[in-house]
Parts: sequence; C-alpha cells; structure tokens
Amino acid sequence: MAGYLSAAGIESVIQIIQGAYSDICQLIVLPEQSVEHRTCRALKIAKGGGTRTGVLFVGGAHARELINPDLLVNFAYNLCTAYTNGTGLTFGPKTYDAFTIKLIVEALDVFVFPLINPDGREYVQTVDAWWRKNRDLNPGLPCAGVDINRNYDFLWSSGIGTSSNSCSDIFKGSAAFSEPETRNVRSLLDNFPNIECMIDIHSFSQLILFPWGDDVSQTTDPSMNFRNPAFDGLRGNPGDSVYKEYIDAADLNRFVQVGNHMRDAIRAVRGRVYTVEPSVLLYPTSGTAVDYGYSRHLVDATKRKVFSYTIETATEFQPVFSEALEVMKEVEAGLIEFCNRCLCPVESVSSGTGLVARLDRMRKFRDRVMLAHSSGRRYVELFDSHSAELLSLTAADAKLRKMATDVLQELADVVAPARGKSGPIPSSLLKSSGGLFKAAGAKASRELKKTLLTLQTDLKFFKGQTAEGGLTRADAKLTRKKR
Amino acid sequence: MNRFFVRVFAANPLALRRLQKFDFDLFQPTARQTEGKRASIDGLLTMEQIEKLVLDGYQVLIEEEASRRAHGQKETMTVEEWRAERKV
Repeated sequence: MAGYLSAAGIESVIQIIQGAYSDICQLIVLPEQSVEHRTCRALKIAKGGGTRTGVLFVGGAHARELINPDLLVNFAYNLCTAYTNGTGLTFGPKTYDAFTIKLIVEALDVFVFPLINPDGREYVQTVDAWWRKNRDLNPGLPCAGVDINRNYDFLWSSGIGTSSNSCSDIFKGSAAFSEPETRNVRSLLDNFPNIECMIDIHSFSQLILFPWGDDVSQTTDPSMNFRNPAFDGLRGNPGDSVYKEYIDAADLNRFVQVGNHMRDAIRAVRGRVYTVEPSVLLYPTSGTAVDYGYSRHLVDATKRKVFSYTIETATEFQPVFSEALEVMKEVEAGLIEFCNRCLCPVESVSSGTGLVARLDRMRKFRDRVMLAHSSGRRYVELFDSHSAELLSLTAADAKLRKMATDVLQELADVVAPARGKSGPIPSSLLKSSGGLFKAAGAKASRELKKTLLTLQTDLKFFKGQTAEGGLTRADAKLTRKKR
Repeated sequence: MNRFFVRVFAANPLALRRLQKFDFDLFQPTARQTEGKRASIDGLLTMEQIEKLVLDGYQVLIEEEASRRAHGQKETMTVEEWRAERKV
C-alpha cells in the first residue's frame, strides 16, 4: 500500500538508491548525528568531474511536513533512473527530454538531503502528528524541541518571527546553530563550496519564496542591510518605511526569473499555480535557511553566492497519499526546471581551461556592467533562456565548443584583463564572435537561431568600442525601437 | 486536548503580526492580506487558545478537527513496498 515512508525508511531508501546507481551516486554521511543519535545522509548525484555548479535540495526540517522527504527521495530516484536508462522524465503533460536529464547529471553536482530532522519525523509518525521541531530536550527549559528553520545564523539574535520560549513552535534555540540538524546543512554548504543554488522544501501554501524574510526588500541603499547595527531594532515591520533590506537588483531579478520558470513548470503538470514572492509576506522571520543561504557571501566575501529558495508545497501538511503523489509530480517538475536554470554554459565551456580562474571576474562584469544597461540585461536574459540548448550544442560538437572557448578567452582578455583596465574590443573578437553565432545558428532551434541573428546584427555597435561603449550604443537602438 | 485547524482573521496586517505575542502555532507562510486591509493566517489551536484570540478581538474560523488531517500515521509504506513498486 502506498504511503509515507518512516524516518528509517527514508534513510534506507537513500542507501538503496546509492547502491542501485553507484556510478552516479555518492553517499554523504553528515558529520553530526541528530539529537536522538540518528545518522543523517545525503546523496550527491553527478557523473564526471571538473568545476561544476552545485545544487542543493533539503527537506524535512519541520517534522510534520511529511510529504517533502518522500518527494526528495523520489526525485533522486527518478533522476538517477532516467539518466541511467537514457530517457527523459515525464510529469503528467510536462516532459523533460533525455538530453536535459543528461545535462543535469553531467554538468551539475546535485545534492539531495531529504530528511534533516529524522527524530521529529519519527515522533510525528508515532506520537504527535503535528510536531514541528526537532527533539532536543532543552535541558533546564520547560519544553522540548527547537525550530530548525529559526536556528540558522541570519539575524538570529533579532528575535524577528521567532520565540525564546521553549514551548513555542518557533523556539529558536539557545544560540544560532545550537542544533546538530542545522549544523549538518551548514556543513554541506561549507564542504561543497560549489553549491550555488539551493531549495529548502517545506509545506504548505503553494509558494516559491526567496530572500528576504526579515523585512521587505529594496535595491537602492546598500548600507541599509542586515549587517548594519545602526538598524538593529528597526527591522521586522514590513508595513513601515523605516527599514527595508537591501538586495542587489540583478540578484532580485534572477530570483524572480528563476522562480517564475519553476512556477510555470509546476503549473504545466496539473494547473496548480504557486505564487513567487519574497519570503517576508506579512509575517517576518529570522534564522531561516533561505536567508542564511543567500546571506553567506555577504557576511564572508570568500563564500560563493547561493541563490536560495523555499518552496512551500501542497495545501496541507500531510495530504491523503494519492494527493501527495500528485504534489510530488508537480514539484519534481519544478526541481528539474530549477536544475536547468542553474546550468551555466560559460562554466561548462570553461571547464578544464585557464578561463575557470577568471569566471568570477567575468561574472562581476556581467553583474556590474552588463546588467546596468538595458541592452546588457536583454543579452543576459536571452542567454539564460537558451542556456540548456547552448549547453547541449557545445557538449555535442567539439569544434563548436573550441570556438566558444576561444571567443570566451578573447572576451575575458577585454572585460576581465589580468592587469590594467579593459580596452576597446578588437576586431578579431568581433569576427570570431560572428563566426561562432553563425556556426551555432546552423545547428540551433528556430528560437535560438533568431537570437543568434540578433546578436550577430548587434556586433556592429561594439566596433572600435569598449564593451561598455558598445552596450551604450546598443541601448540607444533599444530605446529607438521602443519609441 | 483536541486541536483544530483554523483561519484567524485580523483587522489589519499590524494586528496580524501582534499575534506573535501569543506564541501559538500559526503558520507564517499562510499569512495573507484579504479583502480591504484585513489579513488572515492559518493555525493549529486548542479551543482554549481560540477563545483567547476571540476575546482579544480576532475572528477565528474553525476548519477541521486536527486528527482528520493526520494522514501520515495511517498511510504509511515500508521500504520493501517502496522497492517493490519501483522494482529496485
């Protein structure tokens, strides 16, 4: 009879998947046992090596939200099975073809940590169906349990949307990361610094949430941020104009775009519409995984930026299992879409070349220069929307891949030079770019061909210009078009 | 003690946020602005807690007794069943 797995069942299934697909699955035993001494495990699904983007999925933080660990082990199993059999994945009317699955497994490191809080799940299935927290006995305090998703180090001491009362369902614990369950998630982010995309899966409300959770966000005043003590005590009132949490405009744009792609993938399965919005809603929070994940690079510049989301699945904590299966299908489609959006053709083409060391500087150029121009934003959006096809084209054609690497090498010399300021774009780069667009266009879909033709036409704006000068000239064309 | 799934209605978002002082089991992601300035949030409360909120001026809609939605204890699956379904 179909139904929810037990905590031990989830752990066993993780090991079964790893055993069945050992060529692409690696078992990660988390460094700490749960409060009640259960071993926690995650899976890394990946084929091949090299520098790759990591994608992390975690679930089961809140014990009563039973559906999500089952969803994540099914997602891992389906991904491994489809890759191994060379097939696509179908979720109702929504299909991802075999090549997309191959790309995900061969170009990403997919980490799945399905059950953060095994003690809580055990308690829910045997004692109290609505238990939310972990099973920390909280010595010296009247009640047991810490809310794992209020225990991360993001404005933990602010008390926003948390409680210091151990009997509360949102008890934040005795200190940030006081709980082994939260420390295990941190260890994954620390030990796998290639993780750049993350989703913490919860229930319920059919939402796709992104930072921030402490207050509404703004993109104009970088000094108004969670690290600035001048604003302590002023955060956590979303209706006022006293404080708004700063978020980089380009990041906000990416959060919304990727969120919308996930929403569309979920909707395609059976029409359910998940709302994409910042996690603050009307009720602010602190100490959550989504804000901690994204804030890490702001607290410590040596850490990679993690685009982190929360998905709130379903319309109740423990749907009837026949309904739970439908929720799993739709959300799995969203997770595959998320993986797709985390794939980076530039990173893939650069793999194994000297370009890898310059990727960060090229990303800075994209974020600071390109995204400051309307034409640049358009190029980035066009590139993102065709990333899966660009990856497949360059993966399948060694000559095209070499052409792309050469163009990127030359481009890096201009926009991210090892020394000095960036200079004008040489005509050789314009020529090789034109050649690349033409060669890729010959093998591309109609949509990508159209995009490549546009880019080819736009190359004229960059003749004799710096990259920024070219973008300014391209902006003017866009403005004229709008008029 | 029986608990109930409820929807709590507040006069405005500020009144909704003031619910935090009760330390009740309210589900943050369900917080919503409803018609006009009114706002609502779902939760899991005892009858005693519901009475407290009503006395404080909130409207509480009782949706269902909690045990009716507890499918995770009744609808379960063994690892062997999971394997058999997938032929692993």
